[in-house]
Amino acid sequence: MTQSSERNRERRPRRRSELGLAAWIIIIAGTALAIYLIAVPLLMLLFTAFRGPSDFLPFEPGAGWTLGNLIDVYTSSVLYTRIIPDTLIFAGGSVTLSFTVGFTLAWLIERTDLPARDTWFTLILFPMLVPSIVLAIAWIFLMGPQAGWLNVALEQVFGVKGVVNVFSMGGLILCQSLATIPFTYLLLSSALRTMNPSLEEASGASGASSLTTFRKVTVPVLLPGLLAPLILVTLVTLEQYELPSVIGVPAQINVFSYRILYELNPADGLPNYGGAAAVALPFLLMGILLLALYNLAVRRADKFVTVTGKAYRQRRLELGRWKVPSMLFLSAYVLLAGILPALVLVWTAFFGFAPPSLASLSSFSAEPFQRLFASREFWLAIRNTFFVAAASAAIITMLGGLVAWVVMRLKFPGRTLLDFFSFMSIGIPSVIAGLAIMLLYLTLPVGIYGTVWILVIAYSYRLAISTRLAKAGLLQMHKELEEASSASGATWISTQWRVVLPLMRPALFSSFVLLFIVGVREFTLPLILHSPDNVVLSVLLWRLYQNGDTIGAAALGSLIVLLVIPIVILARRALSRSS
Amino acid sequence: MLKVTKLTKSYGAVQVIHGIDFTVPEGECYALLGPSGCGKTTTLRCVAGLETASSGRIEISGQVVSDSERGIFVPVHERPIGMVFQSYAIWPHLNVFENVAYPLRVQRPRVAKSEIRERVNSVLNTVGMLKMADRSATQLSGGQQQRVALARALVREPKLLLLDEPLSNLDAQLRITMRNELADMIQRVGVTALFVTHDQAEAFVLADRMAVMNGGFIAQEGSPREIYRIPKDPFIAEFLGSANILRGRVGELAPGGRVALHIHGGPDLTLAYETPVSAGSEVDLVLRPERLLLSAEKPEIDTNVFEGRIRKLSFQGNVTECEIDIEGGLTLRAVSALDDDLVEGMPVWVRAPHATVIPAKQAA
Ligand SMILES: Nc1ncnc2c1ncn2[C@@H]1O[C@H](COP(=O)(O)OP(=O)(O)OP(=O)(O)O)[C@@H](O)[C@H]1O
Ligand SMILES: [Mg+2]
Repeated sequence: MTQSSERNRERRPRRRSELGLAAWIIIIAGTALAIYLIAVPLLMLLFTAFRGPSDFLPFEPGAGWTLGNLIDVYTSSVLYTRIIPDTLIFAGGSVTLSFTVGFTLAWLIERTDLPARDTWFTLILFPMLVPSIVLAIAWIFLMGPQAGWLNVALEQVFGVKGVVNVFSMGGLILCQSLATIPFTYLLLSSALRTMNPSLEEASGASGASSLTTFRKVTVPVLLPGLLAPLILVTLVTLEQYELPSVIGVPAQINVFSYRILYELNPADGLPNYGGAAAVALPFLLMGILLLALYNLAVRRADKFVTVTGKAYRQRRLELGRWKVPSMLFLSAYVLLAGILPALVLVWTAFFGFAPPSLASLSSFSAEPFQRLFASREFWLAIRNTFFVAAASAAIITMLGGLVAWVVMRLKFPGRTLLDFFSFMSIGIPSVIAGLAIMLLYLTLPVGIYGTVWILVIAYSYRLAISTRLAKAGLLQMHKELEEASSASGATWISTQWRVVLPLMRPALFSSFVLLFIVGVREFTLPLILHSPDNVVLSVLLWRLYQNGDTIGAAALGSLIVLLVIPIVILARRALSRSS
Repeated sequence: MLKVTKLTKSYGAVQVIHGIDFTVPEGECYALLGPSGCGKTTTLRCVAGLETASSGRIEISGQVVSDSERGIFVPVHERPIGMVFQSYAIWPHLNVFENVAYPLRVQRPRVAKSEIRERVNSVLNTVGMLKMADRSATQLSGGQQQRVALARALVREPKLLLLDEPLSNLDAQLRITMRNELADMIQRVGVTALFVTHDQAEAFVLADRMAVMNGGFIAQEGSPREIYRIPKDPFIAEFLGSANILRGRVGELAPGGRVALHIHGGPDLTLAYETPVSAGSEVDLVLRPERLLLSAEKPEIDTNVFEGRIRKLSFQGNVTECEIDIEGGLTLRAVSALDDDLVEGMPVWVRAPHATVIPAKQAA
């Protein structure tokens, strides 16, 4: 008697949840889709590494289990003498350089009385929005060993020949850093912005000079907050493919991302699927490890709280006589990373290779542009670029929002796993994602291979950005705002529609814009998955360049830069909202 | 009206509500009062359906909304409630009118547009916000937000109004004004209300009945007056306002409701008592500082009188607080509105017209 009533008491009431059937269908389907987009291609990759012969797709008739791929790759000396050292030097050098410069820029703009800070901010952002492949080609025009503008200028002024050579490890590191600095800058400036300035003021009030304060207070206080951006920048640098292939390969530099594509399209013959997958595995593992580390770093930094929640007035350091050198430094970056590349592209498109001079003015021709406008491929590429970017940004924003909601609001045991899982996309290099998706849809008989839809699906693996932004949005949204809706008699769907979505609109908007930009910039995925029907602008540019139509490439590059300018304005709004 | 029976709630292995029972009759305002972390909010959220009770039964207006034994759980949005949240939870993307209209807009079957307008205007009028109907929700002061939150909770004419620390987000001055207005508005509407607070003054003003909670239990239930006058134990006595608590032993019962009380380590005194005591028992004597009368001469009435000396006076504006040393190194705190003739160091007599004795808890 006592026992049975005891047991009755223990039985939890079956919760007839406010989540109706429709709600559950949306939640489960959305979560499943998110998992599918990330996990299934990776599983396929894993299988491929262990299936052979290596030129067979993993589940083609005739393929079987094997360790051959792994043995081939990991016993070949090229991995140890070339790929790993090159990758490490490339990543180490670029991260160091971009972190140093990025921090200086962020500190100058966030913490000093530098004039025209908004303009600098926009100018610094610019290289991040232009596809790296465009920049790569522009930098070759600028810093090529013979005809590069810089070399020509140096020769004319100092009479020395071939001083700068972009086709070298140094050149590659420089270019990669120039391209990564805006990203580093954004991460670091938000770290600087959340630092409570009274910490620095207290140091000043204790009699420390600005420099001492910077050394003894600013840096140590920021340090835990710098670790996370450092890891993130490392991840992003490691996954780069554009510059290592355009600049690195002619210089005989062999980083892993290039190696994967090389295995897929070797100079001599059949695609080596198994080999590509085998090269990818350890790098995938490393990416995920770095990501786990990043999560740890973020959690540690959160403990080291520098934000008090109150908005505070930033006191800015007076630059004084350092103002001019600081401006020169900023100008040098903006010139090298943004203005000169844009100029060189436009000039080359209209006037050919010769560096600007009165003589070359006569060779003006708009013919490359006319050629582009007349080609069907150009218009197809424009349509595809914007369609794929918009469609994938919309899909990811919705899915990411849903996953964020599920992770934050539903109490179920697997939610930390789902959270990490959605975040994992940052740790997956796009080369690997592209390879995995290629393998999957070559195997699955769904007939989207070679269409724009495969690109939409491929781009949509980047869930992390939207999940993060949506989570931040939800975090700011008091839970009682939703509960008040339920307590007013609204069903789950009503609550989402009438309260959550409207309140999340800024976060979702930011997420859409950022993903749209990422989509427009995308090069590696559409290159791996490319076919005549799904060509996008970045791939078209690369094809023109490779086929020797350098002037056509310059013309297309100029047009892409032109297209990016309105996006800069959108991006500024999205970024200032999200940070 | 609201009937909560044997309610328990655990988070994982931690039990935070230990089987509480209470009933709120139709039209009454009931307060759950207690220190931070005692489980008030949790109880309220179980009643609302925002938390699932681990066991027990909740009945609102005759309908069982949660019963662990029968596996019944009615989700929040189907319960006949209106709720005012601690943060007010005014939706920033809707204006005042739309915030208040929301419960009617999501109601099925649909409520006619004209009826919505009428009902919203009428409830906005009740809370004195009709003029600000078109204001954006982000342009409201704390007090105005509170009115809107109340209007939104009342607009669908709930059977039960739930309020979670409805005044804690306001600053001290406004809290007192809004406390009285809230009491007025609730009374005018005549709705049955359950509210949570940790401020005894709020409970006293607003509640018809209240429960003092401590550590997941209900420590005492009754009308505010009863609980204040006759707290069941020292914890409640101290929680409801400052109190001098002296432990002693009851001596001989004398005729005329007097008894000798020996304060441990202190004076003996003749006590006129209001609550039953038995000879020889250990008791706590609870003396409210504001109910102690001070005089420079020995008073004529000889019950409940202590003799002492003023050690310290602290002037607080409307009142002066005195610390008075009495026999045996004990100190009494007294509050006096008339301080003209009090001087530190002077001898005083302290008389307590109302003294409550409660059986002492045996030290464990
Ligand atoms: N989601 C939760 N998970 C675990 N423990 C919880 C959770 N919510 C509340 N608790 C615990 O339950 C106990 C009661 O919490 P509750 O919020 O009901 O207190 P309260 O009386 O409303 O206090 P306060 O006056 O501070 O609001 C607390 O000890 C709290 O730590
Ligand atoms: Mg509470």
